[in-house]
Amino acid sequence: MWYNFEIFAAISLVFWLAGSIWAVFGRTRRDSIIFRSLIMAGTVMLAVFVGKLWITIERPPLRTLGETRLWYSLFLSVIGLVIYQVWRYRWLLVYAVGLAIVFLLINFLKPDTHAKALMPALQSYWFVPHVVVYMIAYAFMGVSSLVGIFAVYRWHKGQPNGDTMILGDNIVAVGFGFLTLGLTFGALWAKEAWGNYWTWDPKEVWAFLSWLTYLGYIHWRYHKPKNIAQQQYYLALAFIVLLGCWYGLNYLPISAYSVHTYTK
Amino acid sequence: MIHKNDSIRKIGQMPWGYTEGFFVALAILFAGSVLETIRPLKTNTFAYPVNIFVGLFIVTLIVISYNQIRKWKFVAWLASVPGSISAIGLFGVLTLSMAFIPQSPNAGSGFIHHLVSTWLYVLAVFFMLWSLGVVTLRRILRIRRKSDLGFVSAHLGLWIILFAGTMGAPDVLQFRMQLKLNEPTKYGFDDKYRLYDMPFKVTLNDFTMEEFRPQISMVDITTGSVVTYNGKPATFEISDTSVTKLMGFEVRLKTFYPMAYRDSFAYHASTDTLSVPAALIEVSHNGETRTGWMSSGNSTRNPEVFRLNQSIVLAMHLPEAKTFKSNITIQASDGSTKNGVVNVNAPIDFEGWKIYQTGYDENLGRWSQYSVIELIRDPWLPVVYTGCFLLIGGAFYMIFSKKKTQVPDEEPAA
Ligand code: HEM
Repeated sequence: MWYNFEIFAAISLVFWLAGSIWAVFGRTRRDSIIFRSLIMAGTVMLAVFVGKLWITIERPPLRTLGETRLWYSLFLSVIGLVIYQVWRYRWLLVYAVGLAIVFLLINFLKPDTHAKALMPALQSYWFVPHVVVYMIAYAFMGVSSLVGIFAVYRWHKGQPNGDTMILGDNIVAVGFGFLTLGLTFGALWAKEAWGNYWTWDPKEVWAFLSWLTYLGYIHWRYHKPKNIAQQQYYLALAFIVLLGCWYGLNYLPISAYSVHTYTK
Repeated sequence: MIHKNDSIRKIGQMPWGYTEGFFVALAILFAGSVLETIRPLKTNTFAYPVNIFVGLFIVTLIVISYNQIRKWKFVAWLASVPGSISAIGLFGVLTLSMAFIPQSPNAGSGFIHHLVSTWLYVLAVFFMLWSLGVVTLRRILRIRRKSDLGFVSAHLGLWIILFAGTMGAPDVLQFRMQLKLNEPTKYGFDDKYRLYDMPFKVTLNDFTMEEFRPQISMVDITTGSVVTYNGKPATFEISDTSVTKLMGFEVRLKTFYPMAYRDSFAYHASTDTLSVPAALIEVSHNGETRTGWMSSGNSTRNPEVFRLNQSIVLAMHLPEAKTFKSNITIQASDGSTKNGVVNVNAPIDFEGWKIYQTGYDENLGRWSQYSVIELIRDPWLPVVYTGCFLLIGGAFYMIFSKKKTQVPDEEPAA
């Protein structure tokens, strides 16, 4: 059942849309305060909803894809705001919120049922840190891929791109830190729940593959910071592997071999 | 005057770069496949004490390589970023294969269905350990700043995990035990159902299980599937307080028994073996109200549904397990004993073994007559955990370290 979700989502969406439009057209310092407040209001609305949902279903809403999408939207908007606060990238804020809107809309169009049942294997103090850390990592990597796309766009317009790639490096570094935490927390949890910290289950294979994808990127950037022409495409496309782990796996035949796919 | 050939390096000419890395990785893939075909890796090839010697060998190799880094051009390349990216890339190729090819004996024969127990994997790990080892050692010997600590923490952590995880795997002992109430069991079986005499006896004192309240669905009896309503399945939870409104029907819960038996009139609360969850519900539709019992049934009792109209009924799902745990006593041959409860996500320790709750008789659910536990002994676990904590330290460094700055694209931060 959807506990008033549509109302909360609608309010968040309206705030976010209004904030994004204001950010696109506003020019003054006052405008900057207004669009940030609007976006923040949308984020708070969504946070309230997630909290309410958590209480209503008596378990952390982190089990189904729909539930993880909620957190993803939430973290995207937060990360957009934080990066704006630090580096004043307005386009990044708009795109991050845009992506958050898209994921919230998917939930709108594809509502799932929030059953209270949480299988024993998921009842662990690791559940919340593991999934939340992963959703933060995904949000950073999603934003980094936007940076990659933006870099490609600027490249084709012949504009200098060094700064954009450095922004990408910083976002990837933080995101990769969270990705590493997610991977290790997952292993520590698996030892408690299943007895083995790593069994090369399809979900683990995909998680490790995404991790390697960014590991390669970080080292490549470190070695050849001027090789932007290829790196920007790599950065823009690397996110596909992450999406494969998060989403795609459920649709691949190999998921039949996984104990970690909880969405039927 | 610079000749063209002075500035353009040919493939294979030192210093090596990415192209050579590609060929090194390809060569390892090829060598691994050939080796695996001629002489397949056995699961216990690296079991103790072989893994200790291999470890000593790799560490020695790393130390010598580091000392000869100026003389041995190959090592200089190995410890450069193109060298490490080749190692990462080779690992990536193997992982990518596993991402699409099912890794299970059920999926087929041939080593592509068990890549991590092949020479390909061992050689890839060896390549990675060698490269990562020299890189890490070089940095350890020049730790000066905080960033060096972050670097060493991540790289050393990963090295330890990779080494202890792969070389330690053959030393892991893993057995299952099926426990019957009050019957001491001394035998465990492995994944091929071979029996093993364990160094201790385990007795099951009590098996307890809690279940979630079963869900209720509208089912179309002409098709046998759950009705969808507004794009969602018409499935809901029965709550004491709220009224469920679905497709013009209002469903209220009057009574719920997690365990009940039926006489010819009604269900009654019960603690008997094989009793079933049952609910008395009241359904209103177009001003008409009816009440009736429904039950999910179990392996021996038929379910009972509530008919809404000619084609649609309300049916109760089987309850899902909320917790299941076993109270056990362990007695070692030396006389030491331990009493404890094993629960999913809460194993107990006994003399180097970890004991997990894994299963029960799913046909009987809470009335299961046995409990399945898993016993695992992994002497390398503390080493792997040390690596994990170092890697976590490195991850925290990456998140919180000072970032490179750049010229902002627009207005400066207020
Ligand atoms: C947890 C995984 C890893 C992380 C987080 C990581 C991170 C880093 C970072 C941040 C740098 C830049 C150096 C700096 O800024 O001080 C770096 C450099 C480097 N990394 Fe890694 N790395 C990881 C795994 C690996 C692996 C698996 C290899 C090799 C197989 C490797 C080889 C190298 C090399 C060769 C450098 C160049 C630094 C130098 O020349 O001293 N790294 N790594």
